Amino acid sequence: MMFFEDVRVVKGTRHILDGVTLQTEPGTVTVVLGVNGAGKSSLVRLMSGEWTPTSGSVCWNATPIAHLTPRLLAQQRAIVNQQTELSFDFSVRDVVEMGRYPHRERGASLIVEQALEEMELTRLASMAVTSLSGGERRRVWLARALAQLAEARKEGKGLLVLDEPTAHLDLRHQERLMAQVRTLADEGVSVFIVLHELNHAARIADRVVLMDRGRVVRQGPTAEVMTPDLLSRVFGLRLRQISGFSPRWQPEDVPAELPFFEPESLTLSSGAPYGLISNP
Amino acid sequence: MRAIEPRFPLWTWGLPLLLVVSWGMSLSLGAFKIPPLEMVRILWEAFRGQPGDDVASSVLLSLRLSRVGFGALAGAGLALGGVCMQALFRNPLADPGLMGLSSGAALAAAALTISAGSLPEVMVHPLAIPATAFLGGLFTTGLVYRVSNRGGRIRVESMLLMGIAVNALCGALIGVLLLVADDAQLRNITFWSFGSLGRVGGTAMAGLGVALLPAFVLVWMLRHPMNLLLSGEADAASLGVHVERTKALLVGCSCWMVSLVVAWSGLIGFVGLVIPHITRLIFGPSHRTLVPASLMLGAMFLPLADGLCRTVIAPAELPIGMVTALMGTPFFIYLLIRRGVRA
Repeated sequence: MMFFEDVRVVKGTRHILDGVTLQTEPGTVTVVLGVNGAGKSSLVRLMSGEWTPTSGSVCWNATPIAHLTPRLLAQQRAIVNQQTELSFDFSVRDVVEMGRYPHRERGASLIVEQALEEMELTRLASMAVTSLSGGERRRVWLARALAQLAEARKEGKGLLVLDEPTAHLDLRHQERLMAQVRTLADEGVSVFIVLHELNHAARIADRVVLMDRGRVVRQGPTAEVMTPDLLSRVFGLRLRQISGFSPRWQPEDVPAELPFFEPESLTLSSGAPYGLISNP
Repeated sequence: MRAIEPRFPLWTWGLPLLLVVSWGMSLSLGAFKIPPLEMVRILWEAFRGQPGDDVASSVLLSLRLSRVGFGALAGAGLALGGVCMQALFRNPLADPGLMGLSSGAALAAAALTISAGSLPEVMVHPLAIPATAFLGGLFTTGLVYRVSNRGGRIRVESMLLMGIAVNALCGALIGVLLLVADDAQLRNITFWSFGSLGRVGGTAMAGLGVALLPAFVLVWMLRHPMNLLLSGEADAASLGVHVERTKALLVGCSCWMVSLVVAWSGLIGFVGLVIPHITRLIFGPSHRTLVPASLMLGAMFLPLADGLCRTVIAPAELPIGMVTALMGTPFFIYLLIRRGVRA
């Protein structure tokens, strides 16, 4: 369980995070929402250990993460960042194998093959990652995270952090990813997602953390936080609830073929409770 | 989409065998040619403790052996220096020469040579020059890295431009030193700016070997973290790599290896760019093969290039830095063009 207590991050004169207290819970999908610059990605940087808080503490199972070795933390916490910058000719399989580094395991293994399979990458396994599209690359890094968390998943623990995971993904893979996230959470993994798309958030989240200018505006169960008034205020847009919240996402929701949709179903798809009315 | 071609496995005996053949060729090349069979005889006699007293024996044993040995070590050091720099900058265009490491080291060494007369005894110790070169290289590399690294991301343009600036500045300062240098110092500094293996002996070879070996081992130990570092610092950290420690070790190793070579043999450019690149083309980008294969290719390339220097205008010699630059510059331009085409 990752636990933030009164975390402040100050860079120069900018208060990037200001008194953030939150936690990830096993078996729960936590989604962070907020406008650009609200401090969402800073939370990811703190979870990776890349940043340390100016004050307050970030703990993994009651131990401050600064006291853990990076390898120990990496055995239980995987992060898929928004951008990747690999410009060398590694194959897809090579990159997924890197997920086994914290477990001191090198080379091909069953776990790697399973991760490739789960992200539908088996066919692309020997392709150069540099030659893939943005969405395909994103799936490679997700597969690497799955390989990294294989043991944690079996034990029903671990934390998967995703920064904007649906960006660059086509509709089918967005749906598939959301279903996979739900499966992971049902296995007991904590999932922490930074998202922009409100409708995705409403469908996938168990808990929502709404952030604005480095502070948590409100956090709690999805239906309590994602109210039209609160969202309109934070995002500076008038938003209307179109339908009620759908029951929790189940893996069998994923259609075997391409989802059927009509133009209006793209913006007003069933189970998507929000739509945009107009700019204020 | 492009599939990865099957790579040559490193455990093929080809590379070590080629290494021995290239050393043999380099030993026989020069103003005084020594045929291969003759060479085997001399080496066998020396091995049995009864070295011959003919000219061929003394040329081979007292001149060429240490020169080829030094060349092999220097080539391996420069190639691995390039491998470290490219992992640190996450870019195949990074090179100790282009990044200002070599010129920083040369400037520091030249400054110490010029001021040797007015310095206390301890500062002109034979090891003072390599040590000063190391500090000079460390300073310029640190500077280029700090400027081109913004928030954990390397900006390639800044990296190359900063390298140009540092090289220009060091070149100018070496020019100033030339103005105040006396004749002997002038020869020393000129020798540095072109590079040559002509002035090394058995002691330099042994010294370089002892100094480089720990660095070779350290680079080998960093092979996995280097692979992970290639996809970015945040990414490597999330997989459990001590990013800051790895970066510090990479800077330290490359500065150590390249500065030592520069201090003893002058500026030999482009080995750190060309060798790792060719190795990647043959064996793939993984450092598990890149490190040992670059080491062997470097140890193969520099003695051969040196053999060429000794033969082309024999009995005079070409500076080896000139030869590597002649080969390396077109290669670098080719890489730039290819990168432009891809972008």
